[in-house]
Amino acid sequence: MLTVPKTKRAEAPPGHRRRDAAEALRRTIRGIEEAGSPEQPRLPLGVPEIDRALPGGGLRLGCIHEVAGDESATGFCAALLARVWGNRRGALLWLAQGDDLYAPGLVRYGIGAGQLLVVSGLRRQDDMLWAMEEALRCRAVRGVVAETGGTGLAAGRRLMLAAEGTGVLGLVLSRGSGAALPHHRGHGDELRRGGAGVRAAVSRWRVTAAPGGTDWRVALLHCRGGRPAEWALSLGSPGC
Amino acid sequence: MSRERTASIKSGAPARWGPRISRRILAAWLPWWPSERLARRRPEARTHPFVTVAESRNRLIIDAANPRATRAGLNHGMPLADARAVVPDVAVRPADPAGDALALEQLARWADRFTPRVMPDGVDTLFLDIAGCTRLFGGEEALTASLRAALEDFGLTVRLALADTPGAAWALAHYGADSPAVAPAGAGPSGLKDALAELPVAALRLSADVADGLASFGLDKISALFVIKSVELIRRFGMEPVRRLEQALGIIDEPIKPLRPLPPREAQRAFAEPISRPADLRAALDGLLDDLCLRLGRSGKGARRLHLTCNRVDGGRRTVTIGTSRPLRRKRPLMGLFAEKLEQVEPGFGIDEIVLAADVVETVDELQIDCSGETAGGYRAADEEELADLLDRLGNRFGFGRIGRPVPRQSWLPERATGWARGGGQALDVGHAASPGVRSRSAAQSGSSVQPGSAVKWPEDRRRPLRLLSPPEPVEAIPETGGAPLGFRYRGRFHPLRALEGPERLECEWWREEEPRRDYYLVVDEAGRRYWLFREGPDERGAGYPEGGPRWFLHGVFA
Repeated sequence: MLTVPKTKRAEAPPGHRRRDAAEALRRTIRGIEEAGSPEQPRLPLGVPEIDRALPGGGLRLGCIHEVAGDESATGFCAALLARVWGNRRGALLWLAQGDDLYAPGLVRYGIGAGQLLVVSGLRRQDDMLWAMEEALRCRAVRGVVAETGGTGLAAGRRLMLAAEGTGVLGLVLSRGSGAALPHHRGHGDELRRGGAGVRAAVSRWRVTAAPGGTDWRVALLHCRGGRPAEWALSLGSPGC
Repeated sequence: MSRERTASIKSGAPARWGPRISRRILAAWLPWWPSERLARRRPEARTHPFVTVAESRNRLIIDAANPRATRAGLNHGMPLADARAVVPDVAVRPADPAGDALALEQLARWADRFTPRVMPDGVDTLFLDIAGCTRLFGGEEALTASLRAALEDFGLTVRLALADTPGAAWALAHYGADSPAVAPAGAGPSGLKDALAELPVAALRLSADVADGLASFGLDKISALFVIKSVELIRRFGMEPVRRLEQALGIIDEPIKPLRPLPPREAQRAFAEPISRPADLRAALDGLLDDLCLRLGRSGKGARRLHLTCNRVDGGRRTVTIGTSRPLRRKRPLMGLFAEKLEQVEPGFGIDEIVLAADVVETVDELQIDCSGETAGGYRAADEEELADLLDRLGNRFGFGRIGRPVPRQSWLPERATGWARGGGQALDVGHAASPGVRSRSAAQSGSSVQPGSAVKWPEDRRRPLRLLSPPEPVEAIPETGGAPLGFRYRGRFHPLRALEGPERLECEWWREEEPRRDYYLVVDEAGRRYWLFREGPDERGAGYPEGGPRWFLHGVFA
């Protein structure tokens, strides 16, 4: 039985009260949408425009997000990892398909030397998923990036369950759609094909290079409880 | 006799008096130990003249020879050149005294099946104190015979002797007329005198110059020493002959220092009924891990590598091996590591015995935690453990070499600028001793992005790509002159350039001259993608480009 909690501030102006009621309603709805999963903390991206579009004011931790696109998506994931690490304890893990990830390039996104643990050469999809699930179950990890394409619904659901218990941020990075390097069309880009994809993912992003003056074009394709949107992002903004 | 005792007391020799525990020493002399040891792996050491050589004063001197070489006249101390003149096709190996000693110690450990008190002596002799052990083997003769048979099975020539003292047993083994030479048990000094009387003085384990000195006085048999006052012997030859004689006769004690037993790192379980269900196997392994972890805990050790051997009813054998990134003696993570591999064990008709052995163990550094369960760094000990467990699981599935942290290395060449600190497992390339989990935390804690202990940093003021191609892929730059490009063709696709930054000239270290210098450009194509191109070779003012203009490569991609 759903009820709208009554506001305590009786003397507040009606506009205020209406806003409170709306907020409470939103929270209730979010609770329904995330049924079964415990309330997870949010990770603000530090870009107000984007944070406003995300329910709860940030990226939900303890679940899976999918990022697709060209090499800009790699940078976006690195920036998210650096942000989730913040100044907090915990390890950052990068599950790499090949061995072309170049650590000196990550410094620009806030991941310092020696901070990132890399598992390289995970060419098989099931290896990748197994490693990601193990990493998501580990409380000592703060964030994981897996360079895999689509995961399929069942596998994505497994990953979600693994992440839920620990609050680890899981990023599934699909390289390939219009990637700068043509030979990286390894795993299928499920997003582009509109296939199953990580349906379990809470949000799906596409990050591509922007032809204009800015660095990236960040598109939020799907977000549970949020609305799709698109932004042009410059790397100058701190943190992201 | 009493006179001799007095002498040794006065001289302060290590003498212990009082009722001695009766001993029975079995000496096993392996006259051809170095060559026969090698012959187990190199058959030619048995079938051909074979010597080991050591360098001495810029010459190669024969250290040990095998029987065939000795028959041909090659002896210890002969220069190899002379030996080659005698036997041109002699097989030669460098002498390995340390290896010989280690192998002898291993043989001594093997011999503890006869008695727990085994001591390797010198380079080629084992002493076994078999007092009290003979009845298990059916008497002295039976024990001696079974030792001889076992050693001969190994391909070793052995001479055995039994006496009440190590000295007498050594003398009889080396110089006795027959093998096994047996001195009567419980005979006391006088009985041993009879047994040793006819042996040369060298049988007393004397150094070469003392033995030569005695021989030059015509004292070539041990019996000759019995009649000389020990005072006289001491005055002319020092303490050595008297001490050795008294040791051999049992007048002064010579202890046997048994090898300390290796701590047990093995647990095994046999089943009356063969098991084949995975659940049963898991339960049995669980019990073994309990045993092993308890034992490892007592010795303060943890396992780095574990083998689980499953012996099947049909004689087949399956072995599962796991490795860990740090010494571990907690059951749960070890069980977890095994769980992923137990599927590989095919039980066949059933498994009737499983053996769990930790073959690499290290001392466990316990983490100091305070009351709130935090380590000195302020991090939860449980977290550190959990991360290490995760790395173990990943390492066991993918190989520890594939898990690591990229760390800076001192080089300007992009492909050489990163080292790989192995995340789990063996020695770390960059010299960090702690476990990976600990390292990440300490880096975080010190507030610097570079690991403590490494002064190397990546250049912060230069842009580096996110993906690096190795090797760099050739591209066709347009125009093909030495200047900055307007566009480039990569894999058949033309990328017109909108912007470009550079050049940044990077050269390899001066001691690696083979590689040409590179001029790097950060280029942006029409779609906004950023690439890292470089031009190889000298600039316009240099010695000129190779035939056909400069070569261009794509080395990386920026986000």
